[in-house]
Amino acid sequence: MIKAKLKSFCEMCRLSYRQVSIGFPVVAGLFTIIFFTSLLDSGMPQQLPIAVVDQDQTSTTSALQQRLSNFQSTKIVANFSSLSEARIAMQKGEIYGYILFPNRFTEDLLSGRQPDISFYYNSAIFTGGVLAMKDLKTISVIANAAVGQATLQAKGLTEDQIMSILQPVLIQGHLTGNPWANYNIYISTMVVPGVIILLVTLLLCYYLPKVGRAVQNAFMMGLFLFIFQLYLYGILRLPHEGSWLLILFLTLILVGAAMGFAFFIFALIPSRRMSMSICSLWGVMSFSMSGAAYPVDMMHPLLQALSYLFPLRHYFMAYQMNVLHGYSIAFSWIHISALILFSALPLLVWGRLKYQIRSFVYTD
Amino acid sequence: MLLLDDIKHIFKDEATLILAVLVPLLYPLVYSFIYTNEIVTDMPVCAVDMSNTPESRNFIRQYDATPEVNVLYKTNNLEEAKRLMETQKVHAIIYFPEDFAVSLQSMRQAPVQLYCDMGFILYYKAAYLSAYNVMLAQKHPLMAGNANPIKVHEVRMFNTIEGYGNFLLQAILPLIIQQTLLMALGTEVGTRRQRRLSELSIRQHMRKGLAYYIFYFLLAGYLLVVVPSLFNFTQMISVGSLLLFLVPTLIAMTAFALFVSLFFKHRETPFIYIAFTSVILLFLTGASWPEQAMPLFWQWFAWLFPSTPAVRAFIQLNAMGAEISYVAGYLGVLLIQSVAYFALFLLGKHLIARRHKAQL
Repeated sequence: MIKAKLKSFCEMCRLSYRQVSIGFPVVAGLFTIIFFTSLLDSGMPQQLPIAVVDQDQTSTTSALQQRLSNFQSTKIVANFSSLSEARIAMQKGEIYGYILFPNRFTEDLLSGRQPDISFYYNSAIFTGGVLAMKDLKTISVIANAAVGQATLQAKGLTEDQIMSILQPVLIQGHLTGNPWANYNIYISTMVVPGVIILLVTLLLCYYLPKVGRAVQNAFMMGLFLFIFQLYLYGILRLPHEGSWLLILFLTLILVGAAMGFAFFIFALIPSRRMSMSICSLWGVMSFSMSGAAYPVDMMHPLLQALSYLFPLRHYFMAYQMNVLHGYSIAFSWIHISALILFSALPLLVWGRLKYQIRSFVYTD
Repeated sequence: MLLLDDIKHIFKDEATLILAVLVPLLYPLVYSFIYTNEIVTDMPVCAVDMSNTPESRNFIRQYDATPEVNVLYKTNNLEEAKRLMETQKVHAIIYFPEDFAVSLQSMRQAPVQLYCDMGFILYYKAAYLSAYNVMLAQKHPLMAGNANPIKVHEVRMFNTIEGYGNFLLQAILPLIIQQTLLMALGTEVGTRRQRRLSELSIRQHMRKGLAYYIFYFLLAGYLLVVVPSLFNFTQMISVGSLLLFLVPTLIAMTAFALFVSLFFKHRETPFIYIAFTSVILLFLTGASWPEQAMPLFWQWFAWLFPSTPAVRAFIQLNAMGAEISYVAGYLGVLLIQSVAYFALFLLGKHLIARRHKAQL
């Protein structure tokens, strides 16, 4: 009786393992890679919609609009007659910013009464808002310069002299590690490994205690990280300063760290649901805790300490130091060792892990 | 009465308790906590001053005075500065060449080099924009007395502190609703199948959906009203708008969850699918990567999910103070999605029932 019950129970457990097919890692891995690399394909957003509120309607203001329309990252899509129309368009998400040339702008300008230019941008939407701001700010500066230029030209100064008076200092920006300001470089390179190791840990926890099945699935998932790196640096040719060997080594220890973490959690908490919940929490928080978007140094000290517990954080640090910038491993050794330590975590609970794998009973 | 049992069931089962109660209660708090400092302040920068003149020192002083930047190191050795960057002690270097002051005095534009660490987007933004602002403020001695011919006003709208959490959480909060609802309902249905319990009838299945709909109305109040006010996020949505927003949003999300739940045959599968789709769905909303910059295919693909119109509408209503009529288009999409997913759900149910009959 008991034996029969046990047998049917085992049958059920075995059946349940067939749930996620072997095709899942393939589909999920490919989808993630294709999604992020194609989504960010343009590198830098271009032609984001902005608007103009031109209450003056003179040749001066239309010349300024003409110059504004030559900028790359934004595009004037509308010409409103009132500020409230422009604000509503912004609240509807149709534009990211707008500029106002008020009534009598040209008249005031010509008579030296210092007219106003106001520009508005949406800071509730980050990337779009910042790019609109940059273009609108530049056009305001150009407007000022253009006026100054005319007066100074009349005094017989050369172009270079005029520029040195209007804008004595010139900031020349250099982006170390990302010369094209390409978003693919800092979004894909972090988000894709993050998603993939999240799946590695989840698949492991899902299939354990069937170690063979679990490792096989996690390994397939990890393989996609290698494919991703090959695609990114071999085919898309993103710039990098690190050697191929280093990129592959980092990928290997990241996948190792994720697997080590999942085995460790499973050994401590032999409930599939709980171990998967913890891995989800860890994986989803990793994106924030890696510091790729909001820097960890700016976070609460408690979170700065906690960030050491996230493999993705260490990967990100090692990646940006060694691969992106080509700095020496001597500077990132702490992160590389941390990843290796994560891979070795199961050794810490070896006895317990072996016991859990042997005696695990699935309870729903 | 049966409906009440379905609501109670959410709390009885450990799995749904985690997914529909604990996760929505705790995740937003964790996230908001991560971003409580909101902005980049006093990021460490190294100034390499080869000029070492009053002019260059003055520029450095003004740069240091901006809230975003802290000129932590001053040196006249570029190699030393690079080493500071390599060891991550600074994230930007501002370099003044030897002839900086000479250029200024001899009516040549004086270039200043700014090396930013592009690994961190917010550091780059802070270092660059504050240097740019200091640059614009520089006046040539000849112009010192003159005011600029045009007065420029910069108006930062809506997210006036430009806080990162204030921006990101407005998108994440509605997404949490969709994802946890999907996971919890999927788990309930998956569990029944795993336990070989009889397939839910259409009526029972819909009642489960209704139970989640009602429960999530309460939860949405917490997520969309209590959490933002706890962390001082922008909150411009009115009660009326919130209700008009929530009704179609939750209908669409429930219908979507009902449809997707047809595919779960096991208690834990929803975990795997949903954790990994969350990041993708967040990008599809267009909150962090402008929708206009997405390839057309993904722009259309985004409309398949209720999270896309819901997040966009919520940001506009809550973070940008839009009237409910401005987001009517999104609400319309949500209604279309509701009808479509509900129809697909009924069709799926019908097909499953027919297969069962055939097996008998």
